[in-house]
Amino acid sequence: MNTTVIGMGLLYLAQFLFFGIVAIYMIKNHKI
Amino acid sequence: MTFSIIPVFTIVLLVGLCVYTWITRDKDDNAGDYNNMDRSATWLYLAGTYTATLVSAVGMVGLPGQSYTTGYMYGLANWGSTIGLMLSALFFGPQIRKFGKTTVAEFFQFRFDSKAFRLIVAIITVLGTGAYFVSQTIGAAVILETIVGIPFNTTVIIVVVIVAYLALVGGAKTVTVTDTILFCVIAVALGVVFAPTVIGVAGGLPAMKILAGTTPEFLKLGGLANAPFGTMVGFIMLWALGIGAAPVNLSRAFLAKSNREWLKGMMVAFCVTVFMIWSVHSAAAYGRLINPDLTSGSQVMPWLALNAVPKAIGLAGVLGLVAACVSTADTQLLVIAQSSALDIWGHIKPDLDAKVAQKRTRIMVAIFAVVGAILSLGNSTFVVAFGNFGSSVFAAAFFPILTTALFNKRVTKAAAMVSMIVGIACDFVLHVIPMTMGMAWGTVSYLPYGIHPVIWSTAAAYIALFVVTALTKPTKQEIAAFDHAMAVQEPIDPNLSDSHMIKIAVGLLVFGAIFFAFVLYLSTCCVA
Repeated sequence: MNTTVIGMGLLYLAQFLFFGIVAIYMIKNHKI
Repeated sequence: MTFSIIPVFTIVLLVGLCVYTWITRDKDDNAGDYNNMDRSATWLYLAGTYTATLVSAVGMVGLPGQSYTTGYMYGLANWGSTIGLMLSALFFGPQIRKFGKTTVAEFFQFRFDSKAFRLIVAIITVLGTGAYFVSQTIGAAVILETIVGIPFNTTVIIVVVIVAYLALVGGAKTVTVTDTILFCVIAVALGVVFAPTVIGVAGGLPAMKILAGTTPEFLKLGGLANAPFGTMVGFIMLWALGIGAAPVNLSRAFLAKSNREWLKGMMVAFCVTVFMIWSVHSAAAYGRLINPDLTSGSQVMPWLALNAVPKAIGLAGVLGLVAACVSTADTQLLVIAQSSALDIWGHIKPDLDAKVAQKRTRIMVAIFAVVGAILSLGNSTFVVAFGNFGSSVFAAAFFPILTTALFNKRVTKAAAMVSMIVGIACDFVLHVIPMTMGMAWGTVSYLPYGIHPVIWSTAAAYIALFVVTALTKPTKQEIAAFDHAMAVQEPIDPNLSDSHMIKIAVGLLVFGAIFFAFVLYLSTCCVA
């Protein structure tokens, strides 16, 4: 496995997780 | 090879413009439509206009070019803008909408109770976006020149005429509708059809083993340039902060029908953008397996479209590339014109009548189109470099203020003004210093760890903002303006229920998981 490619993938995966989880939190708590 | 696509391309272009004229035929008389779409945009339009504006000539030609010349991951690392997109979606967009304005500069005037502030922000917006518009026009003209073989100066005129026509006739509503159509063209033609075909022609994902064996540096973060880690982090931050704070991108939030429409649109935009980035950059990197001898990275996408794939798919690639350029440039031109007509001209000669404002915006579209064409004709490398400088200016000047003044009433006008001046001055000086050392404008290697000026200048702007905020007190008007905006509680959009929105967010997470599974597979191919 190429660690640089995985690192770049993790950078984007972290964004997906942050975006999705914060969005769910905001929707559930009617912040948006 | 000039490809026999010229007649097909011309027909597609003419049909597109005829359809556009038909769509816009009865939209002339509504100034609200022209300026902010009467705040009626639903998620598809928001996803369309945001993505189409974000995915530009730089993004689809310049940066993939770096994935071809310097390194696969090196090119991808330049896409910090997805972080900016996310920040706008969750925080900046919903918050700035509470202030109920049409331009970002107008928000600054209201928040700090200062007409002068609005004027300064508008001038920065016009200069920064204007320079980026010119570099965009040059990029589009270079693509057309490569593809159809017409001289550069003629293609500049063609590009500017098309873009000006779109902004002049349509305004915000039709630019948004057009952007959405172009967004579909870009995503399908480039991301789904063209890029996967190129990868297939090059031997599919496992073919990356060849490059991993012959040039392992090509798959390292710093690429063949062996760029330091600090420089790479700087690139990511430049676009994350720059796109997050750029008025042309953030102003898309003003069009939204509701906060939930905005969030839904941005979640879709995020998924499509990440897919597009990886798809197109992969195609460019695999282009090295097809032809490693191109002298300039920006030639790779047009070259692949003309030479590496069947003609119909090449045509799809060409249309996607041109759509990416046009859809960014039309929004930029409209935002430049709005800023200069509503914020600058409106400052000198205020006129509240919406029809007059609309007329002024149109005049400014025409003026900036001519100015843009004249500046583009020289194809000056300085203008292109200055265009990229625009993004770092937005990061240093606006990002610290947006992250604080949007959410906290303690931030004062003096603090915001000092922060803006310190940010811009620091950024400019750090860009100029290399020229005194005989290096090119904007060279970053002389700075500690090669960290990009944008990080130093944004940090300096934050420090200035916190220090002056601690030393000053907000006026009654500033507090009143903030409290008034915060009192606005937009009702929950009845069309987008909690369960529907959560499904979309879960969909985003599932998309992320599939994406990461793909990356894991790719990483096994990227070893010798």
